Amino acid sequence: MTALVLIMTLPVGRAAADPLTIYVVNYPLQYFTQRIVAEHGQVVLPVPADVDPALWRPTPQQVIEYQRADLIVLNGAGYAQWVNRVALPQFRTMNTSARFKEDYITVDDTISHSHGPTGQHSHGVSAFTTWLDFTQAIAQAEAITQVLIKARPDQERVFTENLELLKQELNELDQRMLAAAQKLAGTPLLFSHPVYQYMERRYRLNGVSLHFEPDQEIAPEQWQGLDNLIERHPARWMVWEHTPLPATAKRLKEKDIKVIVFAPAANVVKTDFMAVMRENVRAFEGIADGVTNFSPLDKSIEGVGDKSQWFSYVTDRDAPMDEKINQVEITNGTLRSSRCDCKALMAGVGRDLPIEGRTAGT
Amino acid sequence: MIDSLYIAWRYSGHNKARTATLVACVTLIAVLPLSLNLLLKESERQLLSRAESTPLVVGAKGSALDLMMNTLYFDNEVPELIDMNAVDEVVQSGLAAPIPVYARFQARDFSIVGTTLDYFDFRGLEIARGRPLAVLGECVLGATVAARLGLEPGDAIVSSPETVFDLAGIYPLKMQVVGVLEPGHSSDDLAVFVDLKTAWVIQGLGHGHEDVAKTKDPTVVLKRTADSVVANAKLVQYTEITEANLDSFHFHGDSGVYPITSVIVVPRDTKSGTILRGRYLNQATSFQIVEPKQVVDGLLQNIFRIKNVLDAVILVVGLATVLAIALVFALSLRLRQRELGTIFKLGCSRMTIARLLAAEIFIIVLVSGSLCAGLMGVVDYYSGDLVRALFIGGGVNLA
Repeated sequence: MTALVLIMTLPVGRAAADPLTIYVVNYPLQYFTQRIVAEHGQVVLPVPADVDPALWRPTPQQVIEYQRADLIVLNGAGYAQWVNRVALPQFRTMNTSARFKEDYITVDDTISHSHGPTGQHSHGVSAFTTWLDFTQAIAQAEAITQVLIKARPDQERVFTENLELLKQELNELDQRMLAAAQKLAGTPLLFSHPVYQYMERRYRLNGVSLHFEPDQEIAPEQWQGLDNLIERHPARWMVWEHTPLPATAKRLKEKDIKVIVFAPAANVVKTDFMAVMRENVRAFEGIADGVTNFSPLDKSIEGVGDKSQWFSYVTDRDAPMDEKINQVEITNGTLRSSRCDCKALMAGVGRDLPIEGRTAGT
Repeated sequence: MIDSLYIAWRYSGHNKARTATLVACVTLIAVLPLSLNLLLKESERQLLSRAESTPLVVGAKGSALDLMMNTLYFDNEVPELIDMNAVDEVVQSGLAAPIPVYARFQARDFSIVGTTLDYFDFRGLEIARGRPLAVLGECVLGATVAARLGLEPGDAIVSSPETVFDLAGIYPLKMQVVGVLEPGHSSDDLAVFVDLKTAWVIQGLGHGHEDVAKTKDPTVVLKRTADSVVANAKLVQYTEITEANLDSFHFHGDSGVYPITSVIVVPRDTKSGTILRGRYLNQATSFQIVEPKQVVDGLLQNIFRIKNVLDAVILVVGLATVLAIALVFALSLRLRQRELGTIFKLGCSRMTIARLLAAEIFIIVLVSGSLCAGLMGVVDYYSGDLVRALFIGGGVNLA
C-alpha cells in the first residue's frame, strides 16, 4: 500500500519541544535523518548489526515499537519486505523514495508461476538499494526533511541548513562517480551481488551481477558460470559488498580479475555512511584510473595492424559496442574515437595487445 | 391515614388478580412512551456522536445512508466497493488525512473491519487486554465480541465464507486474537478489527503458499518451463498466518486498485474540508463525499416524524386505558356496594370510605410507579446495546 506522508498530528501528550523519536529501516536513512534532525530527534534502527536490514524481520514487540514512533521512515522500492506484512500507522509513515517510484528498477529474475484463479504472476520485486544513486539519495534526504518540517515547523531553518550540507557532500560524491564512470565508459565490470542496479543506471556502468557471497565459498558451477560469462563480458574488476574470502580473491586473481569493495552500508558501519561512501568512490576511481593508465582516454592508439584487424577485434570481443564501430576511425595508422563510449573499445583492445609505446596524445 | 393504607393494602392483596391487572395497565401505559422516548434519545445520541466525530466519508456514488451506516456502524449492507485510488486522491489533495475502511466480511456474525492503525488513534480506542495489531493475520476484538464469544488474547477466530455455496472459493482465514478493546459503548464494541492487508488476505488478494519454483512435490506442478511454473489445485494455500509461513504471504497486482468500502476523511481544518467537498462536487468522479452529520440529521428527522405518530398512537391508547381503568374502578365500586354499606354501618363516615378508596388507588399507582422506575432503569442500562442491536448494529435500516 502506498505509504502516506501526512504527519498531521503527533501522538497525544507529546510536547512540541520533545525530541522526535524516529524509526527507520536501514542505516543510510538513519544517517540522513540524524544529520538533518540533529539534536531535535533520536533516530532508531533496531536491526542487529550483523543482519542485512533488507532481510530482517521484526518481532511483534519491535513492530509495536515502530508503531509508537513519531515518524517511521521507509526506504520504499520494496526494501524490507516485512513492512508489507505488519500494521504501521500510515499517518506517521513515510516512503522516502515515493517521489521517484516511477523510476524503480524491476528485478525480473524471478520465476513466474500460476495457480488457482489468479493467473500467472511472479513475486519479483524492485531493486531497492536506491541510495547508491546519489541523486536518489538526495531526493530521499529531501523527502525526510519535508516531513520533519511538517512535524517541527519551528525548526525548519535548522533542518534546511543540515539538508544543504548533506546535499553538498552527496553531490560531491555524485560528481566524482560521474567523472570516474566517464573514464570507465563501458568498461566491463562484474558485481558480486545484484544490489548495484541504481548505481549502474545512474553512472552508465557496463556491469553484470552475480550471486557470489563474500563470506561463503564459491561453488564450482558458479566458477564455471563466471568463466562462461567472461567469454562474452571480459571484465577485469569485480565489485563486492564486502571483502571476499581470501580463497575467493585468490581464485579471482588467477583469472586476472581484481577485487574492489563498494559497500552499500545498509547496516550500521564502524565509521559513518559518508566515510564509507567516500572510500567506495575512491575505490571506484581506482578502477577508472586503472583503465586510464591501461588505455589512456583522449589519446589515440597508433599502428597496430590495419583497419580491418581492429574492426574484427572490436566486433568479436565487445559485441554490445559494435553499433558504435562507425564512431571509430583509423587515419594514418592512428585509431581515433570521437565518442567517449568508444574509448572502452580501445581499452578492450589494449587488454590483449600491449600498448606501451603505442599510445600518443592527440 | 395509616389505617386506611393498611386496610387498602390488605384489600389489594386479597384481590390479587384485579390489583395485578390494574398495576400492569398503569405500568405499561407509563413505560411504553417513556422507554420509547429514552431509546430514541439514545439513538440520537449515538448516531450524532458517531457522526459528529466523523468529519467526512468518501465512498462509491449511491446511497449516502448505506455508505454512512457501513462506515460508522459496520452495517451488513455493504455499499459498492471503491479502490485504494480514493485514498491516494485524498493524500494528493494535501487537505486531509484518509483512513481506509473495509467492512465487508464477517466472523461469527460480527463484522470484520479492515483498516489502518490510524483508525484506533482517530476513535481513541484503547486496548484493555493484549496488544495492538502488529503482524498480518492478527485481529483485535471489540469488547462485546470478546464477551459474547468468550475470546481472549491467544485465542483464534475464523472468518466466515461470504456464501456457503462457494465451496471452491476463498478459504476462511484463522485469525489470531491479540487484543481486546476497552468498551467504547459504540459500534466498535461489535467489530473484529484487522489490518487492511489482512482483510485483503481474507478476500484472497494476498495469500501464502509453498514456493512452487522450489517445491519437491512433482504432483503439485502441472507445467514447468525455464521461467514459468504452473501449479494445480493441490498447491495448498495457508489458511492461517504463522511465524513460520508469514514470509510466504504476498499480494498480487496493483495495490492501488485493491478494494475498500470507504475512506474516513479527516480534514486539516474546516476550510480544507469545505474545499475538499467542493472538489468532489465539481469533479466527474466515481466517488462521492458525504458529511455523516448531515446524513444522520436527515435520518433523525424521519425518526422523529415516526416518533410523533407513535406518540399520538400512545396518547390515544393511553387515554383509552385510563378510561378503562376508571371504568374498572366504577364497576368495582358497584360490585362492592354491599361491602361499602357494611363499612358505613360499622360507623365509618363517607370521608373514611373515600380515603380507603383513595388509598387503594395510591397503592396501585405507587406499585406501578415503582415497577415503571425499575423497568426504566433496566431499559436505560441496556439502552446503548438495545439501540445498537435493534437499530444500528443489527442492520435494521431506520430510513
